[in-house]
Amino acid sequence: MANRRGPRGEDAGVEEPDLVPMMNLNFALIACLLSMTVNVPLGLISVQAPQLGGGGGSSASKPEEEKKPKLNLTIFITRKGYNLAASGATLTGDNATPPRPGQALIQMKPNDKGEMDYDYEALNKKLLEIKKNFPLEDNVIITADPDVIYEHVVHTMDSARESGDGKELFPAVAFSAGIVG
Amino acid sequence: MASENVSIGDGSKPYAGWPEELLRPQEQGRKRRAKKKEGEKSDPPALNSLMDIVTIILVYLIKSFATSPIDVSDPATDLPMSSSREKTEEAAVVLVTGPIRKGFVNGQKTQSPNRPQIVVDDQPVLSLGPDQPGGPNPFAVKPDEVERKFVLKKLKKKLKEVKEAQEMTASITEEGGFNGKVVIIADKATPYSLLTQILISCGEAGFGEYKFAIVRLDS
Repeated sequence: MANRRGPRGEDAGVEEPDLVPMMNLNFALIACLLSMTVNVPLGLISVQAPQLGGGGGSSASKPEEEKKPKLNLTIFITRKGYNLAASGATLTGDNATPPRPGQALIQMKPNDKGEMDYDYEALNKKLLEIKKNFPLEDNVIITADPDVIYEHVVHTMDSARESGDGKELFPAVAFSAGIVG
Repeated sequence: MASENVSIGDGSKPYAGWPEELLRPQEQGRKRRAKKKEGEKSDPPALNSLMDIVTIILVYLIKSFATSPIDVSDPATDLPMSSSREKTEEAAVVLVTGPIRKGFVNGQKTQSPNRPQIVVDDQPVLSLGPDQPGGPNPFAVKPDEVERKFVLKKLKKKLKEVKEAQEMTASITEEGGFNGKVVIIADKATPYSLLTQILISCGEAGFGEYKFAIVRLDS
Protein backbone atom coordinates (compact mmCIF):
# COMPACT_ATOMS: atom_id res chain seq x y z
CA MET A 1 0.00 0.00 0.00
CA ALA A 2 2.84 2.31 0.85
CA ASN A 3 4.65 1.57 -2.39
CA ARG A 4 3.52 3.00 -5.63
CA ARG A 5 3.79 1.07 -8.83
CA GLY A 6 4.91 2.71 -12.01
CA PRO A 7 2.98 2.66 -15.27
CA ARG A 8 4.82 -0.46 -16.42
CA GLY A 9 4.15 -2.23 -13.14
CA GLU A 10 7.69 -1.91 -11.62
CA ASP A 11 8.18 -1.01 -7.95
CA ALA A 12 8.97 2.75 -7.77
CA GLY A 13 9.81 2.72 -4.00
CA VAL A 14 8.72 5.34 -1.39
CA GLU A 15 8.25 8.75 -2.92
CA GLU A 16 10.66 11.38 -1.56
CA PRO A 17 8.98 14.12 0.50
CA ASP A 18 8.89 17.60 -1.01
CA LEU A 19 11.58 19.49 0.94
CA VAL A 20 11.11 22.87 -0.73
CA PRO A 21 8.58 24.28 1.83
CA MET A 22 10.81 23.09 4.68
CA MET A 23 13.80 24.78 3.03
CA ASN A 24 11.82 28.01 2.73
CA LEU A 25 10.89 27.86 6.40
CA ASN A 26 14.52 27.22 7.42
CA PHE A 27 15.82 30.12 5.33
CA ALA A 28 13.19 32.41 6.86
CA LEU A 29 14.23 31.31 10.38
CA ILE A 30 17.91 31.88 9.61
CA ALA A 31 17.14 35.37 8.30
CA CYS A 32 15.14 36.15 11.49
CA LEU A 33 17.90 34.88 13.80
CA LEU A 34 20.61 36.78 11.93
CA SER A 35 18.62 39.99 12.15
CA MET A 36 18.14 39.50 15.91
CA THR A 37 21.75 38.58 16.64
CA VAL A 38 24.01 41.42 17.69
CA ASN A 39 27.46 40.91 16.26
CA VAL A 40 29.22 42.91 18.98
CA PRO A 41 31.68 40.76 20.95
CA LEU A 42 30.88 41.52 24.57
CA GLY A 43 33.14 40.93 27.55
CA LEU A 44 33.29 41.73 31.23
CA ILE A 45 35.60 43.45 33.70
CA SER A 46 35.41 42.32 37.30
CA VAL A 47 35.68 45.02 39.96
CA GLN A 48 35.32 45.25 43.70
CA ALA A 49 32.87 47.83 44.89
CA PRO A 50 33.24 50.51 47.51
CA GLN A 51 31.38 49.80 50.76
CA LEU A 52 29.63 52.35 52.91
CA GLY A 53 31.35 52.56 56.31
CA GLY A 54 33.62 49.59 55.59
CA GLY A 55 36.32 51.22 53.51
CA GLY A 56 37.13 50.18 49.95
CA GLY A 57 39.19 47.15 49.12
CA SER A 58 38.94 43.43 49.02
CA SER A 59 36.64 41.67 51.45
CA ALA A 60 37.95 38.22 50.58
CA SER A 61 41.50 38.77 51.84
CA LYS A 62 42.83 36.20 54.29
CA PRO A 63 43.85 37.07 57.87
CA GLU A 64 47.51 36.15 57.21
CA GLU A 65 47.59 38.52 54.28
CA GLU A 66 46.14 41.30 56.40
CA LYS A 67 49.18 41.18 58.67
CA LYS A 68 51.49 41.96 55.76
CA PRO A 69 52.03 45.62 54.93
CA LYS A 70 49.84 46.56 51.98
CA LEU A 71 50.91 48.72 49.08
CA ASN A 72 47.44 50.31 48.77
CA LEU A 73 48.25 51.52 45.29
CA THR A 74 45.66 54.11 44.29
CA ILE A 75 45.14 55.79 40.93
CA PHE A 76 43.43 59.16 41.09
CA ILE A 77 41.77 60.14 37.82
CA THR A 78 41.47 63.91 37.96
CA ARG A 79 40.36 66.44 35.37
CA LYS A 80 44.04 67.28 34.74
CA GLY A 81 45.45 63.75 34.54
CA TYR A 82 46.59 60.97 36.86
CA ASN A 83 47.99 61.09 40.38
CA LEU A 84 49.24 58.00 42.17
CA ALA A 85 49.32 57.09 45.84
CA ALA A 86 50.80 54.17 47.75
CA SER A 87 50.96 53.45 51.50
CA GLY A 88 50.23 56.99 52.58
CA ALA A 89 52.43 58.80 50.07
CA THR A 90 50.83 60.61 47.16
CA LEU A 91 52.67 61.37 43.96
CA THR A 92 51.44 64.48 42.17
CA GLY A 93 52.96 67.06 39.88
CA ASP A 94 54.93 68.37 42.90
CA ASN A 95 56.95 65.14 42.80
CA ALA A 96 57.62 65.26 39.08
CA THR A 97 60.97 66.27 37.61
CA PRO A 98 60.93 69.21 37.14
CA PRO A 99 58.20 69.91 39.77
CA ARG A 100 54.83 71.12 38.49
CA PRO A 101 52.95 72.46 41.51
CA GLY A 102 49.18 72.06 41.25
CA GLN A 103 49.48 69.78 38.22
CA ALA A 104 48.87 66.06 37.84
CA LEU A 105 51.74 63.56 37.99
CA ILE A 106 50.81 62.21 34.54
CA GLN A 107 49.29 65.03 32.57
CA MET A 108 46.77 64.77 29.76
CA LYS A 109 48.01 64.96 26.20
CA PRO A 110 46.39 65.44 22.78
CA ASN A 111 45.22 62.21 21.15
CA ASP A 112 45.07 61.27 17.45
CA LYS A 113 41.98 63.46 16.98
CA GLY A 114 43.72 66.45 18.58
CA GLU A 115 41.52 66.26 21.70
CA MET A 116 43.00 66.24 25.20
CA ASP A 117 43.00 62.69 26.55
CA TYR A 118 44.57 60.76 29.40
CA ASP A 119 48.10 59.48 28.83
CA TYR A 120 47.44 55.75 29.21
CA GLU A 121 50.91 54.74 27.98
CA ALA A 122 52.68 56.89 30.58
CA LEU A 123 50.44 55.45 33.31
CA ASN A 124 51.19 51.94 32.09
CA LYS A 125 54.96 52.59 32.23
CA LYS A 126 54.70 54.07 35.73
CA LEU A 127 52.70 51.08 36.96
CA LEU A 128 55.24 48.71 35.39
CA GLU A 129 57.99 50.39 37.44
CA ILE A 130 55.92 49.95 40.60
CA LYS A 131 55.16 46.31 39.74
CA LYS A 132 58.90 45.57 39.46
CA ASN A 133 59.33 46.70 43.08
CA PHE A 134 56.18 44.91 44.31
CA PRO A 135 55.88 41.79 42.13
CA LEU A 136 53.37 40.04 44.44
CA GLU A 137 50.94 42.94 44.59
CA ASP A 138 47.80 42.58 42.41
CA ASN A 139 45.41 45.13 43.86
CA VAL A 140 44.82 48.67 42.74
CA ILE A 141 42.21 51.15 43.90
CA ILE A 142 40.74 53.55 41.39
CA THR A 143 39.10 56.79 42.39
CA ALA A 144 38.06 59.66 40.18
CA ASP A 145 36.51 63.05 39.93
CA PRO A 146 32.71 62.77 39.82
CA ASP A 147 32.47 63.88 36.20
CA VAL A 148 35.16 61.56 34.80
CA ILE A 149 33.38 59.39 32.27
CA TYR A 150 33.13 55.61 32.32
CA GLU A 151 35.11 55.20 29.07
CA HIS A 152 38.20 56.81 30.65
CA VAL A 153 37.79 54.65 33.75
CA VAL A 154 37.70 51.49 31.58
CA HIS A 155 40.83 52.53 29.65
CA THR A 156 42.58 53.28 32.94
CA MET A 157 41.68 49.79 34.18
CA ASP A 158 43.08 48.36 30.91
CA SER A 159 46.36 50.23 31.48
CA ALA A 160 46.52 48.96 35.05
CA ARG A 161 45.74 45.33 34.11
CA GLU A 162 48.74 44.50 31.92
CA SER A 163 51.75 46.11 30.30
CA GLY A 164 52.19 46.67 26.58
CA ASP A 165 54.07 43.36 26.22
CA GLY A 166 51.35 41.39 28.00
CA LYS A 167 52.84 41.21 31.51
CA GLU A 168 50.27 41.20 34.29
CA LEU A 169 50.35 44.33 36.45
CA PHE A 170 47.44 44.98 38.81
CA PRO A 171 44.39 43.03 37.61
CA ALA A 172 42.33 43.25 40.83
CA VAL A 173 40.59 46.61 40.64
CA ALA A 174 38.60 48.11 43.50
CA PHE A 175 36.58 51.29 43.18
CA SER A 176 36.69 53.87 45.89
CA ALA A 177 33.67 55.96 46.77
CA GLY A 178 35.89 58.81 47.89
CA ILE A 179 35.65 61.59 45.34
CA VAL A 180 38.71 63.57 44.41
CA GLY A 181 38.09 67.27 44.71
CA MET B 1 29.12 21.36 -58.25
CA ALA B 2 32.38 23.09 -57.53
CA SER B 3 31.13 26.36 -59.00
CA GLU B 4 27.95 26.20 -56.78
CA ASN B 5 30.03 25.72 -53.67
CA VAL B 6 32.21 28.69 -54.56
CA SER B 7 29.19 30.98 -54.85
CA ILE B 8 27.92 30.50 -51.24
CA GLY B 9 30.01 33.38 -49.90
CA ASP B 10 27.44 35.90 -51.16
CA GLY B 11 24.84 34.77 -48.52
CA SER B 12 22.19 33.78 -51.08
CA LYS B 13 22.28 30.09 -50.00
CA PRO B 14 23.24 28.20 -46.84
CA TYR B 15 26.74 26.73 -46.86
CA ALA B 16 26.49 23.12 -47.93
CA GLY B 17 30.16 22.39 -48.20
CA TRP B 18 30.82 20.65 -44.83
CA PRO B 19 31.36 16.90 -45.09
CA GLU B 20 28.71 14.65 -43.56
CA GLU B 21 30.98 13.20 -40.87
CA LEU B 22 31.37 16.68 -39.39
CA LEU B 23 27.65 17.33 -39.49
CA ARG B 24 26.60 14.09 -37.78
CA PRO B 25 27.96 14.72 -34.29
CA GLN B 26 26.05 18.00 -34.12
CA GLU B 27 22.81 16.22 -34.79
CA GLN B 28 23.67 13.57 -32.22
CA GLY B 29 24.49 16.27 -29.66
CA ARG B 30 21.17 17.95 -30.27
CA LYS B 31 19.39 14.66 -29.67
CA ARG B 32 21.40 14.07 -26.47
CA ARG B 33 20.56 17.55 -25.13
CA ALA B 34 16.89 17.01 -25.93
CA LYS B 35 16.98 13.69 -24.07
CA LYS B 36 18.67 15.37 -21.08
CA LYS B 37 16.02 18.09 -20.94
CA GLU B 38 13.29 15.48 -20.86
CA GLY B 39 15.13 13.73 -18.00
CA GLU B 40 15.46 16.94 -15.93
CA LYS B 41 11.76 17.51 -16.10
CA SER B 42 11.04 14.15 -14.54
CA ASP B 43 13.75 14.11 -11.75
CA PRO B 44 13.46 16.78 -9.01
CA PRO B 45 16.80 18.24 -7.79
CA ALA B 46 18.29 16.50 -4.75
CA LEU B 47 17.84 18.91 -1.83
CA ASN B 48 18.91 16.56 0.95
CA SER B 49 22.50 17.83 1.29
CA LEU B 50 21.40 21.46 1.13
CA MET B 51 18.73 20.72 3.70
CA ASP B 52 21.40 19.26 6.02
CA ILE B 53 23.60 22.35 5.69
CA VAL B 54 20.71 24.73 6.34
CA THR B 55 19.57 22.73 9.38
CA ILE B 56 23.09 22.76 10.85
CA ILE B 57 23.33 26.54 10.38
CA LEU B 58 19.92 26.95 11.99
CA VAL B 59 20.83 24.84 15.03
CA TYR B 60 24.14 26.72 15.43
CA LEU B 61 22.37 30.09 15.31
CA ILE B 62 19.70 29.02 17.80
CA LYS B 63 22.36 27.69 20.18
CA SER B 64 24.54 30.81 20.00
CA PHE B 65 21.45 32.98 20.43
CA ALA B 66 20.37 31.05 23.52
CA THR B 67 23.79 30.99 25.19
CA SER B 68 24.45 34.74 25.00
CA PRO B 69 23.52 35.91 28.51
CA ILE B 70 23.92 39.62 27.81
CA ASP B 71 22.11 41.45 25.07
CA VAL B 72 22.70 45.12 24.41
CA SER B 73 20.07 46.00 21.86
CA ASP B 74 19.22 49.46 23.24
CA PRO B 75 20.28 52.03 20.61
CA ALA B 76 20.90 54.59 23.37
CA THR B 77 23.69 52.54 24.97
CA ASP B 78 27.20 52.88 23.57
CA LEU B 79 29.64 50.59 25.38
CA PRO B 80 33.35 51.40 25.82
CA MET B 81 35.99 49.13 24.30
CA SER B 82 38.41 47.22 26.47
CA SER B 83 41.26 44.71 26.22
CA SER B 84 39.67 42.54 28.95
CA ARG B 85 39.32 38.89 27.94
CA GLU B 86 36.75 37.88 30.54
CA LYS B 87 33.69 36.26 28.95
CA THR B 88 30.06 37.08 29.61
CA GLU B 89 28.09 35.06 32.11
CA GLU B 90 24.62 34.79 33.59
CA ALA B 91 23.84 37.52 36.15
CA ALA B 92 21.36 40.22 37.07
CA VAL B 93 21.71 43.12 34.65
CA VAL B 94 21.72 46.83 35.47
CA LEU B 95 21.61 48.94 32.30
CA VAL B 96 22.42 52.66 32.18
CA THR B 97 21.32 54.21 28.88
CA GLY B 98 23.10 57.22 27.40
CA PRO B 99 22.04 60.74 26.43
CA ILE B 100 22.12 60.07 22.67
CA ARG B 101 19.90 57.62 20.81
CA LYS B 102 21.40 56.38 17.55
CA GLY B 103 19.35 55.02 14.69
CA PHE B 104 18.87 54.70 10.95
CA VAL B 105 16.26 56.62 8.95
CA ASN B 106 16.14 56.03 5.18
CA GLY B 107 19.63 54.55 5.28
CA GLN B 108 21.08 57.61 7.04
CA LYS B 109 22.59 57.55 10.54
CA THR B 110 20.61 59.70 12.92
CA GLN B 111 21.18 60.90 16.49
CA SER B 112 18.49 62.20 18.79
CA PRO B 113 18.59 63.28 22.45
CA ASN B 114 17.57 60.63 24.95
CA ARG B 115 16.77 60.83 28.63
CA PRO B 116 19.12 58.37 30.36
CA GLN B 117 17.59 55.85 32.69
CA ILE B 118 18.55 52.92 34.86
CA VAL B 119 16.96 49.63 33.79
CA VAL B 120 17.07 46.38 35.77
CA ASP B 121 16.34 43.17 33.88
CA ASP B 122 14.53 45.09 31.10
CA GLN B 123 12.36 47.07 33.53
CA PRO B 124 12.94 50.85 33.84
CA VAL B 125 13.68 51.79 37.44
CA LEU B 126 14.92 55.37 37.53
CA SER B 127 14.96 58.24 35.03
CA LEU B 128 18.02 60.47 35.22
CA GLY B 129 18.74 64.08 34.37
CA PRO B 130 16.30 66.94 33.76
CA ASP B 131 12.72 66.19 32.74
CA GLN B 132 13.44 67.26 29.15
CA PRO B 133 16.26 65.43 27.32
CA GLY B 134 19.27 67.47 26.21
CA GLY B 135 19.76 69.26 29.55
CA PRO B 136 23.13 70.27 31.01
CA ASN B 137 23.73 67.20 33.23
CA PRO B 138 21.93 64.27 31.60
CA PHE B 139 22.95 61.81 34.34
CA ALA B 140 21.94 63.92 37.37
CA VAL B 141 20.02 62.08 40.08
CA LYS B 142 17.31 63.97 41.96
CA PRO B 143 18.30 64.44 45.63
CA ASP B 144 15.11 62.76 46.92
CA GLU B 145 16.07 59.58 45.04
CA VAL B 146 19.29 59.19 47.05
CA GLU B 147 19.83 58.13 50.64
CA ARG B 148 23.13 58.46 52.53
CA LYS B 149 24.63 60.29 49.53
CA PHE B 150 25.41 57.10 47.60
CA VAL B 151 22.42 54.71 47.67
CA LEU B 152 19.83 54.98 44.90
CA LYS B 153 16.63 54.00 46.70
CA LYS B 154 14.63 52.69 43.73
CA LEU B 155 17.56 50.70 42.38
CA LYS B 156 18.23 49.12 45.77
CA LYS B 157 14.53 48.19 46.13
CA LYS B 158 14.36 46.66 42.66
CA LEU B 159 17.59 44.69 43.13
CA LYS B 160 16.26 43.30 46.41
CA GLU B 161 13.20 42.06 44.49
CA VAL B 162 15.48 40.47 41.89
CA LYS B 163 17.50 38.80 44.63
CA GLU B 164 14.33 37.45 46.28
CA ALA B 165 13.07 36.18 42.91
CA GLN B 166 16.38 34.40 42.25
CA GLU B 167 16.32 32.82 45.71
CA MET B 168 12.69 31.75 45.23
CA THR B 169 13.47 30.20 41.83
CA ALA B 170 16.46 28.38 43.28
CA SER B 171 14.36 26.96 46.12
CA ILE B 172 11.71 25.66 43.70
CA THR B 173 14.05 24.23 41.10
CA GLU B 174 16.62 23.05 43.68
CA GLU B 175 19.35 24.11 41.28
CA GLY B 176 22.02 26.78 41.68
CA GLY B 177 20.90 29.62 43.91
CA PHE B 178 21.48 33.30 44.39
CA ASN B 179 25.06 33.92 43.22
CA GLY B 180 25.25 37.64 44.01
CA LYS B 181 26.53 38.49 40.54
CA VAL B 182 25.49 41.69 38.82
CA VAL B 183 26.57 42.97 35.41
CA ILE B 184 26.51 46.72 34.86
CA ILE B 185 26.00 47.71 31.23
CA ALA B 186 26.68 51.43 31.17
CA ASP B 187 26.93 53.96 28.38
CA LYS B 188 30.52 55.15 27.93
CA ALA B 189 29.53 58.71 28.90
CA THR B 190 28.26 57.66 32.35
CA PRO B 191 30.01 59.71 35.06
CA TYR B 192 32.08 58.03 37.77
CA SER B 193 29.84 59.44 40.51
CA LEU B 194 26.82 57.55 39.12
CA LEU B 195 28.87 54.36 38.72
CA THR B 196 29.88 54.40 42.39
CA GLN B 197 26.27 55.07 43.41
CA ILE B 198 25.11 52.08 41.36
CA LEU B 199 27.84 49.82 42.78
CA ILE B 200 27.04 50.84 46.36
CA SER B 201 23.30 50.34 45.76
CA CYS B 202 24.03 46.84 44.41
CA GLY B 203 26.08 46.11 47.53
CA GLU B 204 23.30 47.38 49.79
CA ALA B 205 20.81 45.09 48.02
CA GLY B 206 22.98 42.05 48.74
CA PHE B 207 24.93 41.66 45.52
CA GLY B 208 28.65 41.12 46.05
CA GLU B 209 30.21 40.34 42.67
CA TYR B 210 30.33 43.20 40.18
CA LYS B 211 31.20 43.15 36.51
CA PHE B 212 31.20 45.86 33.87
CA ALA B 213 30.15 44.97 30.34
CA ILE B 214 32.50 46.14 27.58
CA VAL B 215 33.09 45.53 23.89
CA ARG B 216 36.11 43.26 23.50
CA LEU B 217 38.96 44.68 21.43
CA ASP B 218 40.69 41.38 20.71
CA SER B 219 37.99 39.84 18.50
